[in-house]
Amino acid sequence: MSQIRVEQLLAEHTPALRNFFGARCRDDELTGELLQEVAARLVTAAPRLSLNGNARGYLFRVAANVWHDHLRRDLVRRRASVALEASAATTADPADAPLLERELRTAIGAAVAALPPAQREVVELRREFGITFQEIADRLDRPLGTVLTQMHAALARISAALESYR
Amino acid sequence: MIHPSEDTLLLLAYGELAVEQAAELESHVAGCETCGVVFARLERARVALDDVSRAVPRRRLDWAAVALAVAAVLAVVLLMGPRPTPDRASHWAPTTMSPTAGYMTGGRAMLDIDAQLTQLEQGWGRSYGRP
Repeated sequence: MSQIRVEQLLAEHTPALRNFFGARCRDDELTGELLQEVAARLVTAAPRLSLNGNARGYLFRVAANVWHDHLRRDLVRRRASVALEASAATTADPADAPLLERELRTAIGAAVAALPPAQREVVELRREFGITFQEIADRLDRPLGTVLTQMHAALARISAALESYR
Repeated sequence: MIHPSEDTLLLLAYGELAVEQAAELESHVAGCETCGVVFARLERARVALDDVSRAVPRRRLDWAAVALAVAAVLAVVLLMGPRPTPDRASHWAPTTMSPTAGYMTGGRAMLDIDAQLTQLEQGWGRSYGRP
């Protein structure tokens, strides 16, 4: 994929990407940074890319990964700042990041284990197989609305666990 | 625009809406404080959950590696481990010579050698004794 094609692709989809990030972070400055990150990843990957008519899909997958990475770093950073406030230390140790990530995973894992069985079933099917909610509904023989409500309730509990984790 | 339902926001977070519908919703969420708060909470929980899921296969792999290592150690122990104690009488190999050491440690092998030496000596004695 040529440099010109990369620029064209970015120019064509920047409004949609801005929308994508804007809805998620609601911060213009951060949206700009995340867009730059998408552009950087696209330029890096361009020489070995061959997009057969699915350029938009690829671009949004990159954007989703950039957002995911940002949010994950943010979760750990928030935890680090809380830990820093709690301790008398004056500087954050970057070596703590893997430890904090493990702590986060443990907290989420415990929250999932504590979910009611019906909610956990939906969460596990989504996690293990990555199937759509409609497919989960079909598999569990439940209405789609019920599955969505159960997933929503599960995420609310996980969100509460994240709050207490922070 | 009417606020989207929480189920719709959930489908948006998991990328299960049509492109046009997703774009329309994202425009709304970007400018709506109420939906933005709900969506941000959903996204944080979703990403945290995805992250745990990504970590699971690696943990399984670690256990597989541990199991393989244990199996390898066991195999080595079984192959190189204790062998039957050799029969001292049949496998004795002297390293130092001593007149009595053979009788003390050599057992039957040394006794056989001693008997042959005695026969030779007797033979030599008879030839040397002849006039």
